Amino acid sequence: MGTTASPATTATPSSFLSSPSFSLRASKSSHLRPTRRLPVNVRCVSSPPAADTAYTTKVSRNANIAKLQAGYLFPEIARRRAAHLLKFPDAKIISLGIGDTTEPIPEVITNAMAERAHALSTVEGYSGYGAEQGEKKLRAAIAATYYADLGIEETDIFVSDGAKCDISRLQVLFGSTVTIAVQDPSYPAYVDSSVIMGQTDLYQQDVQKYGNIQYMKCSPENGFFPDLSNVARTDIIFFCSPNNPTGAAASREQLTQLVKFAKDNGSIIVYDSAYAMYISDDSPKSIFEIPGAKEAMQDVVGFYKENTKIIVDTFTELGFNVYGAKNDPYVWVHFPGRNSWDVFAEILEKANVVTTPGSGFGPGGEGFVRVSAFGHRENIIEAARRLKQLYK
Amino acid sequence: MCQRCGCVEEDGFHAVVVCPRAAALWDAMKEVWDIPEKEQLMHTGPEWLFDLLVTLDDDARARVLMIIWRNWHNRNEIIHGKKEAPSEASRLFLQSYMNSLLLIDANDGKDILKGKSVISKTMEKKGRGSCRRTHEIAQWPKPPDGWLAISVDGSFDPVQKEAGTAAIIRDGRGDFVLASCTFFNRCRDALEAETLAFREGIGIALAYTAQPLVIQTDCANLAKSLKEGNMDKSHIGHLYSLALSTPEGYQGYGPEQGQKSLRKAIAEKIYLNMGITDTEVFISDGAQCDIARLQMLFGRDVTIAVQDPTFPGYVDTGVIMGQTGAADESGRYAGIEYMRCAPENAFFPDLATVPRTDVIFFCSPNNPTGHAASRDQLRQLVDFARGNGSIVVFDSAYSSYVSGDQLPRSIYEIPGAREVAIEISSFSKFAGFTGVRLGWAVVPDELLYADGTSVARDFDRVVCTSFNGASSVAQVGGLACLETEEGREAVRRVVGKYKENTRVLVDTFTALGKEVYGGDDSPYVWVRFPGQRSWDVFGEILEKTHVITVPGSGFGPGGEGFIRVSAFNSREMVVEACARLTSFLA
Repeated sequence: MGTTASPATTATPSSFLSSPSFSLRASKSSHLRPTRRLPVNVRCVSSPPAADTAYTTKVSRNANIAKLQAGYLFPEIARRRAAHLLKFPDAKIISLGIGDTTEPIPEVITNAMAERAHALSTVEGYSGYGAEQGEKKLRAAIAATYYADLGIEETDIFVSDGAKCDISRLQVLFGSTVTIAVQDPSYPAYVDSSVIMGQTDLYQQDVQKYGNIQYMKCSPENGFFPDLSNVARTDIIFFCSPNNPTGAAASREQLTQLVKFAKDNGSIIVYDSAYAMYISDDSPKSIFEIPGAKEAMQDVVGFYKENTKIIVDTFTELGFNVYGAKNDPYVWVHFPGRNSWDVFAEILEKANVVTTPGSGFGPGGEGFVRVSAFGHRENIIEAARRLKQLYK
Repeated sequence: MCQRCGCVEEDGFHAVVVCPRAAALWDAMKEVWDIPEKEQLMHTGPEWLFDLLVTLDDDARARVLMIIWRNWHNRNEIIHGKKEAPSEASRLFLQSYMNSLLLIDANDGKDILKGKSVISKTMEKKGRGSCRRTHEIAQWPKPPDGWLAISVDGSFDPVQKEAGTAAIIRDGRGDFVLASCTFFNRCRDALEAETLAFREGIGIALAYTAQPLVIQTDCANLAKSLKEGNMDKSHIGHLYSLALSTPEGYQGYGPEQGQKSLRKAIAEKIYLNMGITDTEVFISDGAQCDIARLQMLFGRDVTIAVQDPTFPGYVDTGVIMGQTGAADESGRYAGIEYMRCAPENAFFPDLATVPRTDVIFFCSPNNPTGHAASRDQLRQLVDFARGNGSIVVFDSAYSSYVSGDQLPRSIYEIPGAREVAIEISSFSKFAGFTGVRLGWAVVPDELLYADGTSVARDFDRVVCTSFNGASSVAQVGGLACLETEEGREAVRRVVGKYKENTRVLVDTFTALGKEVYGGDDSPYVWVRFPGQRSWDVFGEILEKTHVITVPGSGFGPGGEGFIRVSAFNSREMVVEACARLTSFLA
């Protein structure tokens, strides 16, 4: 015992002795029994256990997963948020980071779910395994609502548990030897799933890209649409419009270019239209569109659009260049010359607002921060106020 | 080297007893307190302190501890570059402190001072053996059986606005389990220090164990507020929320891992006493999906072994991931190790003849054969995997169909399994969630790749990239199955119904003179139709009786010559089917 075992603080006396839990077990009899010997190896840990067992399996780690840089973007943001909360427990954090919705689901929808749940407790209403492609009625409804007049039928639709899962299943379908192109910046799952499937080479720190992926730069300078004449042929092209994170919605003319590019090269486009419902102007909502697409506006979407406007106005008034936001619930704010994780940390520490650093979406996101409009109106207004304070 | 006297090398005994500065305090206290003679303060070995304390009565013990504590404090002052107070000052301090305790006690011991109430007191020296005691020194309160006790404490420096916290966990016998201490360089007040200590205690406990916990704090305010669920918006209320929440952001994985309450319920109810913690449970949308994600995790370059016959998902996902070559005429894929399970070997492979593979998929109770491996068989499997450095993926989707208490329901009942096995399971077959979609995977912390990296960490990465978590509504349903006796009893009844159906099937085929396997611990019966191709038998049964079964060869070449009949239907339908089968096959 030659080193300090206790932290370097002055303990107040009350905290030591009056704790009953620290008194030894007292013997009532006059003959004192010897205490049980406590093990000499007293283990004191102040962190979750590292594996101190010597045993490992002889299974090699999947080298593709080892290529991944850090954790997936959004759990990483969550970790930083948690660390911030630890340092400043009374901070009233507002999260405009992950695109997680906050408004309750309208009752007409939850009633339908509740009814079905209750029906599962009846003999007539119980259903077990469903068709893996999804219930016929739902597939038909999707085809009729979103793809009417586009030549898409119910049998072309596969209902899933979300786009993220579909991206990975598509990657499993394509296999390890296809080449892919992605927008830069873009939703991280296209790249990460590609790495996991072994389609890429190692990460190159200097350019912040994985080898063997075509990164198609989308920036203010090119109107957030890549110069396809500079893009090499790949088997697969992932294209998200309206875009996460930049908010850019490709025009009819641009999508026509994209489709021609793919046809000429014999490539497959994976078109991510997750934010199509937010389109305000007449940008195409579906890659399958031809003139005369149906319109579908919802109250909930309208609510997030108002939020988006508040955020856009806030940053614009502060003198920032702001992109996106017209056609999707993300505001893409330019912080020229600044490291996006630094800006993220600055906004979190000084304003207690969570955003998402642009470089998390690809090297083309460096110098930008994504601010999401998903939140309660009061929180959006409060966040706007704090941002005005911070950057006035 | 002791920094106080500079004479000898320091150890604990020297620091608080022998060092001249320490000895001086003993002398000073001897004049006012009834404490042991210097000769009794002996260094008997590493446990000198316990040896000393055990010879003392309650009051002397308290006094000795206070002196030792004060000597240690003074020693620390020197170590950290502060000036040490003279012995006289320390003596006065100790006396005054004792007196404060007595004054508090004079008010019947229930008053709160600094948020603490006094439960014991000792007296100044009045002559040997004449200590007046009106209260017992409190016994350390033992936790109930099967529980652990965490004692937590925080200390606060009002000048530096810093805090130190500590937590110690002991079991029902008082044996040490583990302890932790943390330093905070930013703390508002003593109550916050106590709350941080509380959270620390919960945090380390939940990282280590799924056992229920009793948390002991000396801060009455804290205990009171937590019991009352005082969640006001003051900064303390926020701290209480922190205290009651676990630090999941850096101990658990992402939200894709599933709701904590469900993970805890699975760890505590299904893996009771197997050392599985909630952080090792990953909620999914079903075992089939987990199999695919596990294969993505393992990648293309692993070799796999499967039972033959077995659930086709393991093989098919392996093929899709590129782990195999082409299939031959019998349907066997090159590169997969097929472990024959047949009546002749009691449905357990002869592992001595099985070459090493990286991964072994093992389903028990088995789909389709219905065989539930014995404890001894699973021990063999775990030893085999250990010897080869392989990973077992143990599919326990049908564990709720196991009858009685003899057969294992989880691979983690086998010693050593934590270091070699992943277990997957599902709510499909015991809760009827086939359409609702809910399951889980257990990936223990000790499961490591050859290079020492954590399998769970990579699995979490795959889950976070390719999945967004199981449906919140489905998870709530899963929790209802587990967390109340009413829920558990309800699913037991449903399983019981299917097991009764299985009995009917077993009886029917047995009466027809067929070799029938499975059925006891499974909702499947595995019926031999020797000399016939199973697809032909399937076709015949379908045509002649309009009953759908499953041909055994669909589960692997080892399934040829068998038919799987499942008990998943209403009782009437099963009885009707059996009547038709009896007419046809008799």
